[in-house]
Parts: sequence; C-alpha cells; structure tokens
Amino acid sequence: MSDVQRLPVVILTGFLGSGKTTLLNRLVGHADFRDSAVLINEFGEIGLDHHLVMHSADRLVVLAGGCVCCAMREDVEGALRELFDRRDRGQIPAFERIIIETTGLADPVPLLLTLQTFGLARSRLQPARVITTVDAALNARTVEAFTEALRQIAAADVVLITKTDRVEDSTAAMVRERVKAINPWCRVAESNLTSSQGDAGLREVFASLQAQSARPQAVWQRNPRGHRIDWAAGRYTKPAAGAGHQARSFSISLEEAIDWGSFGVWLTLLLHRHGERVLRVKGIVNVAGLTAPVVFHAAQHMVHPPEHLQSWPCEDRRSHIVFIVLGLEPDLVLRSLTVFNRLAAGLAGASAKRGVMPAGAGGTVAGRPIRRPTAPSWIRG
Amino acid sequence: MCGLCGALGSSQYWTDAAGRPEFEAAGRKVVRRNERSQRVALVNAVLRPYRLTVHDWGGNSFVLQNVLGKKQNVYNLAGVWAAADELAGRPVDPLNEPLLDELEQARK
Repeated sequence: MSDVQRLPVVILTGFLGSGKTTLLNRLVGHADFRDSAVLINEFGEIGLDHHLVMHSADRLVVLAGGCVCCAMREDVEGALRELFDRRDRGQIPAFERIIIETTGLADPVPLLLTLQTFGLARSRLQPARVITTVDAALNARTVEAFTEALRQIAAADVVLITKTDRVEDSTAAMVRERVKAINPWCRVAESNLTSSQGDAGLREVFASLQAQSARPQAVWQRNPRGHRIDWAAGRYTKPAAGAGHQARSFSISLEEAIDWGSFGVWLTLLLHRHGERVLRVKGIVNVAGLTAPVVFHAAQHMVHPPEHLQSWPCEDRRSHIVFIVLGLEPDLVLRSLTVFNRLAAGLAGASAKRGVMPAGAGGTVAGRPIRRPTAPSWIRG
Repeated sequence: MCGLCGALGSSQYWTDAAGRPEFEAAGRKVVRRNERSQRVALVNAVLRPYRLTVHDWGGNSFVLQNVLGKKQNVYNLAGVWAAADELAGRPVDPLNEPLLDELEQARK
C-alpha cells in the first residue's frame, strides 16, 4: 500500500451552535477543498445538517442516529471503507481529502483513536488534523458547563473563534487567551464566517490545512515561545479554564535520563487510571542511551507513536512533559514518574528467564487448558 | 494465530523499542526478549503490593495471576492494567502515595 498516496483527513468539531456546519460550507465551497469527501454525523435519528451542506451528494455520507465518537465508531470504519471502495471502482469522482464533521457533543479523541487503529485509515489516510470552532459569545459558559467543549479545544490543531462580530474585541481576546491556556499547541484564528470569500481568519484555517502536518520538532519548538513556559524554574502551572472543571496545564521536568521501559509502564498506567482527566500531554524525553530526544503526545487514553528528533532543539537536556489535566497534582505526577523511572535501575540484575512462563507447558487461562506444543524452543525457554 | 487459544500474533505497541532502529544507539541493539523481560520485571514490581504476578507467555502475550490462582491472558500494557484492576479487586493507581512509598522502599 506504500505506493498509494495517503489522503489528508480533517476532523471538524466544536460545541453545538458554534459554526461547524457553516465552516464546512465555507470549506467545501472553496476551490481548493471542493474535491473533498465529507462524513457528517448528526445527533438524533433525523439528520438535518447534511441538507445545509452544499456539496456533491456522491461524496457526502451521513451517519445519523448517534455520536460519531462513541457508538458509531464502526459506522465510521464502514463509511470510510465504502467511500474508498466506490472511489477505487470509479463509481464516484476521486476525492483528495476527507472531512469528518462530528456532533456538537462529541469528544474527538475516540474518533482519532479509531483513525489511528483502523487498518484502512492507517494505510490510506494521513494522521488526522482537528479543527475546533469556538463561539466567542458563549464560550466561557460552555467550557464551564460541558467537559466536551473543553476536550474539543484540547484536541484541536486549529481553533477557529467564530461570531467575533457579536462581541467586543476585549471579549474575543479573552476567549483567545482561554483557548491558549487550555491548548498551548494549537493555532488560533478568528472569523465571523459571514463572508463567502473568507476573511483573514478563514484564510489562515485554509492555509493551515493545505500545509503539511507540522513535524513534531516544529510543534515542540513552537510551544515554549507560544506559552512562555519557564523551563529554568523547572515547573509551571496555570489555570486553564473554568474553575468548575479545575482544568489546568502544568509541566514537569526531570534531570535524570528516562528509562524507556519504565516510562512506557508509567505512562500506560497513568493514562489507564487517569486518562479521563488527562486532556492532553506532550513531552520531550531524554531517553537513556540515546543522543537525541523522543517526542510523544497523548490525549486521554490515546498515545500517538513517539517520534525521534534528529537532535536536541536547545542546550537544555532535561525531559519536559506538559500536561493539560482536570484536577491532577503536579508534584504527585512528578514524584510518580521519578519513582517509576528509578525502578529500572533496581531491577537491572534480574534474571531474564525469571518472568517467563514456558509456552510449551500446560496451563489454564480463564479456566481453559492451554498448551502450545508447536512453540519453538527459544520461546519455550 | 494460535489454533488452540485463538491468540493473535503480537503487534507493535507504542512502548516497544525493539524492532525500531531509532532506539538503537552506538551499536546497542534492543533485543525483543530482553525488553519484554525487563517490562515483566517492572510490572511485577508495581503489582507486588496488589499481590499480583505477571509472566511473559510465549513471547507475545502476558499472563496475570492473583493469589487465588485466577489468571488472565493479555497482549499489551493497556490490557495488563485493565486485567490487574479486575484481578486485584481494586484500581492500580500510579498516583497512590502508599504505592509510591512502597516502591521506593523496595528499591532500597
């Protein structure tokens, strides 16, 4: 499948009434995005949004009756498979990208996870980019009342603040500040979406979608500038959103090199236990034994494949991990990582055979007899 | 796939360094078997206070067992933690301070 060009995929999300469908119309009406396939999810049995989207019916799929991000996950897989089948058979015009519009109450992370794990999406689609629309007038109350709105912003690559013509400039600036506090990595643009030709904010969104996905190094380097993280102080915390959710971002830094095995054990356990409260986490990790750092990012229970940088972006060789969380304590997170990281040193002399269960031996799992007589000798131990 | 238990062959998980050349530095090769045994030792250290043990089984899955002998077969670390919650009867929490105290104590 390596010779098949991977298509870009855009997830369009945002709270109810924040302008997703209007933005979708602007997107598919633009000459550069007309050749997109569109998947629309609607909350409720009878979909309406697709009637409001001016786009070729051939390449528009409606997933009515639920939320695209949880119950309808298999429908997304099925819809994507059918779209590619029909495209490959020449039954519909070729499309150059896929746009998925979620419901206003959707958390986009499960959908990102579906796209990351579903075989067809992995082989034929680029990593998804998330655009979140944010209503300038209602954002403060929405974020306060609904964690979905918070999660939509935290998952975004690009946030478009809409309806800016209905608020004072100072209010729009506050919304922008709040968005950056929730998600320091996203690009923020403003548009009132009324002009069919698009204003500066809309053009910024178009440009960001046309650009190749930002490489991790670029994303990482942008982060400290954009959010004034004081690495020298070792740690910072900042309230991210409404007090009702106790959302905040903080960073932890570790002087000692990190054992990759311990780090995997720690992060998988942290996200398993507290994933619901970890809106986003990104880190640059000094892995023991490597000369260049590893960058990773995760959202809730989902971890993206780690990326290796060619070199350190600056003189600082410490590991830095930035969290956006609901109610986790920075000191405890740092202590936990430190304790787990030091476990590996204490186990360095452990026998490699000690933790191995001979595969050829009989045994029971969940009450069923298990035996693998064909296992090769190196596995049987 | 194993015809007896239906176990699928292992697949790459994000925590795996073996098989990824980027993790090899200065001629140091990450051997899959060593990496798995280190992971098992780490997980055993974390689960000891919960009276659970884990074994690498066949090089592509893990078997968790509690003191009553109840076992579960899982394929990656996410599965390990889900099974550990069930077999321990209480959630395994990396931010639980008594657990961190115990891990620090055990290391000394």
